[in-house]
Amino acid sequence: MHLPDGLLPPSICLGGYALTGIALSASLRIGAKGSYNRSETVPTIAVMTAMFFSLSLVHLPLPPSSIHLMATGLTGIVLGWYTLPAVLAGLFFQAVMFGHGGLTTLGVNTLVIGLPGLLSGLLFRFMTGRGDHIPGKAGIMTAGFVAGAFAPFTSSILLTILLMGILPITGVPTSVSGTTIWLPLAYLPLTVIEGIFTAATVWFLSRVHPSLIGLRINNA
Amino acid sequence: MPDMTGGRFTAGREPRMRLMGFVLLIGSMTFADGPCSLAVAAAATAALFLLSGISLERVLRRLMIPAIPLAILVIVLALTSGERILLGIGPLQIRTEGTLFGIYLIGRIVCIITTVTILVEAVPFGENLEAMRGLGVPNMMIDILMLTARYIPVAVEDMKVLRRAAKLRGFGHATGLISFMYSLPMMAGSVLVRGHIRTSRIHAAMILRGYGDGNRTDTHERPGARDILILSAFASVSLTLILLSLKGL
Repeated sequence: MHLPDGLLPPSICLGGYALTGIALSASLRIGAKGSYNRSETVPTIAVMTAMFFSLSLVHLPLPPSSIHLMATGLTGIVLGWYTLPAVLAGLFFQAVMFGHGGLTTLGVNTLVIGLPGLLSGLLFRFMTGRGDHIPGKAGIMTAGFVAGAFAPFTSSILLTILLMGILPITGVPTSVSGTTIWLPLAYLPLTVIEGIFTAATVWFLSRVHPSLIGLRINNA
Repeated sequence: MPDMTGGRFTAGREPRMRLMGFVLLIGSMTFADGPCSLAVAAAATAALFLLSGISLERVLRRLMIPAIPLAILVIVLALTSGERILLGIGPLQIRTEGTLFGIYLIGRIVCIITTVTILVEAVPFGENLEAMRGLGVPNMMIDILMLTARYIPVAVEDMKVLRRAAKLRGFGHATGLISFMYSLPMMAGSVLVRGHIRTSRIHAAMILRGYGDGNRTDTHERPGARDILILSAFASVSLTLILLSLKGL
């Protein structure tokens, strides 16, 4: 899912940074309008970023190969409007420490991976409601699955659109760039696994620390 | 994880100027798409590599990460892109345009990844973060990066410990996907909850030590003549790369 350095033309790299800057600024402003508490917010974003990074190192066996989780759905559920800074920081560390992705493509990668994560968080909030009660197990797990699966699938669609639009500009023939239309299909196993993983994790968090996923305990 | 404590490239250089220079150079390398611009990019990369003192092994390790998908792309391009036939091997025809495009693409990627590797491995990470703060990156973003850098090794270690504990208790012995999916969400959730409590304390300690929004004063020295000279050198190479690229060279 990460586009490496050197693959994209400079205009797209710059555009990616500009759009990420705008989206980041907007999401920070909207996030701060909510229940912003600096001593709570920064550590929560940092720990979720570290989890986003750590989970990408866990390889799940899927014969004949293996895949790694993205956890953008979970990031979106935990952080809501603060998903973009977390994804930006996580991708930065992945690029700096392991060379996954790149620094010139960081803006584009943040949009492709982070925006679906943000939308996943909003989707989860919408599905679980804003009431003062925790929805039932089925409700939480369904919302978790949908939000968890939505993020990687949407990312793969965004990546496909991007590659089909950009590769011909860089000189790659359309016969080659056209094959990227199958990309969402290739990400289908990951989509399902992410959905199951997010559903189970969200269920666990709803029992142990519901406020972490925006749920409130009903004491009534 | 790579050693990010820094190397020879740190002596006597103002971090903001150095970071700006690197950003300019890396950005302009994305323009390199012809023989001349690629030669300039390669020469600049080689000079930086020699000055940085980092090992070739480190650079090669990073270059290996995108190697396989890029190799596939280059082979497909060489076989499908273009009209002129460079070489015919049985039913396969290697085309000139596709081969050249592949060579330029690989050259550009090698230059960018090598320069990025020099920036992140030969310069202390904290120094780069402070330079980013000095260049106007929001304090909140820098705090997130600092705290994440501090917490990543803890999170990775916590995951390892929990996986070992789960195995010792009879969970997750099998290496299959279903077994993995049974235990992984519980482990991830546990690490997240523990981390949430722990990072709040770490963040409070960081603020007490003078880090954090509003607490940090600008400690950068004024750039000296040498720093300006170095930035000018970076800027000149970047401008040359862009001009050569615009002329199609």
